Amino acid sequence: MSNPVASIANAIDRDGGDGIVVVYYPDFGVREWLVREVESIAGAEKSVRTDSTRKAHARPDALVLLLPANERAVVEELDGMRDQFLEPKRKYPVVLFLLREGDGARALREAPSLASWIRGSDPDPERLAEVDVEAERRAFEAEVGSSPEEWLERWRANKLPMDTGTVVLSYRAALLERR
Amino acid sequence: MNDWLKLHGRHRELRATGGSSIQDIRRVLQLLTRRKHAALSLLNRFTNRKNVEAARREWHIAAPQDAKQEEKKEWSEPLQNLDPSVSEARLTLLALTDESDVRLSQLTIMLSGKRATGDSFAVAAHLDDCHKGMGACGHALFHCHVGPDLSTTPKVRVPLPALRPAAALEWVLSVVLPNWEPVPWSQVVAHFARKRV
Repeated sequence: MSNPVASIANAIDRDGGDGIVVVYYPDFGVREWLVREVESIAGAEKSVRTDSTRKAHARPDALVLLLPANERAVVEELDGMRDQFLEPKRKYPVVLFLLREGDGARALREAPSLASWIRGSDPDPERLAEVDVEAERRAFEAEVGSSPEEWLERWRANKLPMDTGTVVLSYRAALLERR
Repeated sequence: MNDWLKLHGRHRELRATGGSSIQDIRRVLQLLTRRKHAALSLLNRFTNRKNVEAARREWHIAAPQDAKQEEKKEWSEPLQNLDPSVSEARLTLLALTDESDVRLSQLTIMLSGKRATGDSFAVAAHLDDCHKGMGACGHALFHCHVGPDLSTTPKVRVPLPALRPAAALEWVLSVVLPNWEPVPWSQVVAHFARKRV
């Protein structure tokens, strides 16, 4: 699957949406955006942000966005808390945000209980969203006969017809454009 | 300052910060699916791709998995339960933002289809990424094409106010969907009555 939005939605919907989901982020600059993205995709009536497993457990009525300052410590805590999280039944999952290849992600590989609890509900949506720029540029040139920059130059000068196909192509070219 | 310069200033602001409201589009798509104007899967198909090196993100509606291969690259979403004067309408939704969805470089919200008479029509709101045409009146940064298609002359480019993406989508949809009114007059009256108190 290469649809980052669907990867988040599927992870949240799994098991009726009452489990725990891990969402990886590539760097802190994108984390806040990704948190809002998860909130928006989940469409929960209530959502709370916290850095504490205790507070996450105390809000089974809400989508919990767990944003730990110490990711390793929170992973280790959660690893021993599965039974506690089974009752009361949650309405929405806890979404734990972990830095890709960070300390928390490494700790998760050493936490068998938590890993089995998550059971694959651990998308890395930003990785799925990434395009292979060089491959896409080659495909664009093969299809259109010019580079994204050359095509955009004509497009911006109103030298190309405007229809659904060219409008769509203009976004594809702009995504790949070198500036 | 004249009206066109003021409008251009607001369009520039929309480009500088409008990306932060891209996620609001989901609220409109949710309503669209709930009212059975579009397939339920549309919600998860409004998705994005990013160019990491350029810190650029492109938003689009992805084709459903069972769509024909030739349709996938230029997918536009068919709408249902249309106004009786419209027999066919397809929605294209495209945006280009920075990686964190703050700057909105480009936006296209486009409907194309057929009237009940069989004639074609197109409504397309465009936020341009650069100055086009001769100036901010004839080719405002954020404008809407209305006509049988996008190329018939004279090209009508109606300047749009600096609506954020979700509101612009709401307006475009109001052209073809019956009873689609996010702000009915009763709500408007109640809102201003509350303000007077």
